[in-house]
Amino acid sequence: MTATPTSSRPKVAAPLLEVEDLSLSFRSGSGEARVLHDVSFSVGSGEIVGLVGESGSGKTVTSLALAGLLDPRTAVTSGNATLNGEPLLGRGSANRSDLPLAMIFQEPMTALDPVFTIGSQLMETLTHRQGKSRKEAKREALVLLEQVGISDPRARLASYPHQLSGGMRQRVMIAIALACAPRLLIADEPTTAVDVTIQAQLLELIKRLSVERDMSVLFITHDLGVVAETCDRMITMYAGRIVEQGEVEQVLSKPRHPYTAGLLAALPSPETRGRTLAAIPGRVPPPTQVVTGCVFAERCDHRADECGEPQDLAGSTHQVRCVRSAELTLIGAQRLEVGR
Amino acid sequence: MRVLRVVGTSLLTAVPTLILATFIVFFMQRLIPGDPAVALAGEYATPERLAEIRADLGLDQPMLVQYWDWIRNAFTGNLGASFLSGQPVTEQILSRLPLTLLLTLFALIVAVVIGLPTGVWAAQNAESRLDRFLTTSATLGLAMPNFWLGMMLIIVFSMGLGLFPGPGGPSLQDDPAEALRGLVLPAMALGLVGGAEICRQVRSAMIENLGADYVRTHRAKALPESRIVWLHALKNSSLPFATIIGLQVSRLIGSAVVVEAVFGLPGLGSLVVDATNQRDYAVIQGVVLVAAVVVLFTNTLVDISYRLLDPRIS
Repeated sequence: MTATPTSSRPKVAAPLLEVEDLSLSFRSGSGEARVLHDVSFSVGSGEIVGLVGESGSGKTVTSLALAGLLDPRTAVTSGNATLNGEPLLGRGSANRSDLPLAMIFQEPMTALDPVFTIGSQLMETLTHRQGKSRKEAKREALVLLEQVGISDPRARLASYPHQLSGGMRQRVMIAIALACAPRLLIADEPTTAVDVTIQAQLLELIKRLSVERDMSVLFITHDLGVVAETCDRMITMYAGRIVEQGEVEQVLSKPRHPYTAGLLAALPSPETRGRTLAAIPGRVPPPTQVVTGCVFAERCDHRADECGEPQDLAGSTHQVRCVRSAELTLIGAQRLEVGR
Repeated sequence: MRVLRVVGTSLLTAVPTLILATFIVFFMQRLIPGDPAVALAGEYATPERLAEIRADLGLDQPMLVQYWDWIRNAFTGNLGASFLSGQPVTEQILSRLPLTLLLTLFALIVAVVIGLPTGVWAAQNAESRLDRFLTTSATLGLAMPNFWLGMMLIIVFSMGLGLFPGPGGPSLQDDPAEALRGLVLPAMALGLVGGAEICRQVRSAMIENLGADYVRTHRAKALPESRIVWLHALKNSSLPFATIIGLQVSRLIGSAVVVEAVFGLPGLGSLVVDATNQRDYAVIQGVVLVAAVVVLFTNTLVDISYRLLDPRIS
């Protein structure tokens, strides 16, 4: 991780994104599977918040629900989510074009339309989202490509996605997202599919754009290294529930939930070279399984009798959903340097 | 520049296929049992008379010489003369080709107008009642023989409702408007089956594309759904669409033979049926050659469209 420790930026009080008791179920022939349980969090203006968890933890469906990308025929949502005061849930996809929200995805190889040029995809977004004329859109497209660090933007306008490398495509994806004039960018594992050097460049780019444009980012990842480097705050999700949230520095140095501590222990580091990495035994319970107590108890080393009781997310700035958190001393990050 | 190169390459690749097609046309029909000389002179002709006729028609020459003569003349537009009537084959074909081409074109339009939107709708509403209704109808449509469909259409729309003229209307040259009206029912008989096929292909291609990552990107940008479906997903589905159009043209020209017979239309189909019954080699060769050229031409167009529609094919 690049070590550029800077002091945390001052946070604006009024949150831009507010999510309250977001629940989500998928309807299928055999019944309903509940994948999100009363998820509540907020993202401040200009803030970068990491949403962390392993596969099946519900981080991606959370982002898809907020971006309105779930199929309304199968997905049932409840709760509230507002962006800048505007409701996000229950809108048809048709009237989302005035929301200052954009999203980028994990797989840059397939996320761009293969039979349209980069220029046409960018300009189309600009004309639809910002009501620009073709001429303005073209000028703006060049500016955006330059901003995301694409060399020779004029030539790239006429390129097709298959003519670009993975890193370049992800930059184009970011440019298209910026064309939506977002105040919130949802980034769903945007650096997972590219190699590490490109990953570092993309993270730098996202951080820079966030500062320059006062753009908030909800950064979905399973990589705590990326969180340490990029985010102000982090939210750990497990089995569709938030189990811990707080400032990145706080959470990573003194995790209060055994699951976050487990994720940290599973990170490779120079100290663990040559040794078997710690792993969390077992797997995320399937969404069809009804759990009354702590949902992580089954896999937890610190399990006790009281873990069978329903648990609340407790605390002020550093919140945790674990009845034993006060008595536990969990090992935090040894070497992760927080980059923001 | 790119377009010119694309067209050039596609045309060049069509040449060997064309040569092969002429070869097959020429030698295949020599395998049809029966002797044209006998057909001409009758069963009781003397052997001398038969030999004379064969010499007249050049049938006593070695096969390869006959082939070479035919192909050389064909290149100059001369397809020889009918064994029976002595009329130039080129003239006969030219008088009947417009009708068959029009019929094929109309049928193709019917097929696309029916198949494309229903395919897209079915994909948009996949697994819904509408989708099940459309796919079931398409399967039924595919199972219907077009000569039977033609007869049903005549019974309902011509004899029953009197909306369209029945078999045996005027020719294109005599009364173009009435002749075109007379093409509506045969075009439907031919095109409905094609429409069913197009519907199924478009549906599956669109379902695949509507689930693709790039569509999710377009939705995340909040593009209007209609634009995502009818512009982006449809253009991405255009390769299978172009393929099926190409196949449809060959099939339509083949089926036109039958449908022309049902509707009594004086097109290429009825010409080749008569010629086959009478062993009129010159006419059969000519018609099949023209049909082969039309099919090849369509395939070349499809090939060109592939390269223009998908930038990844170069």
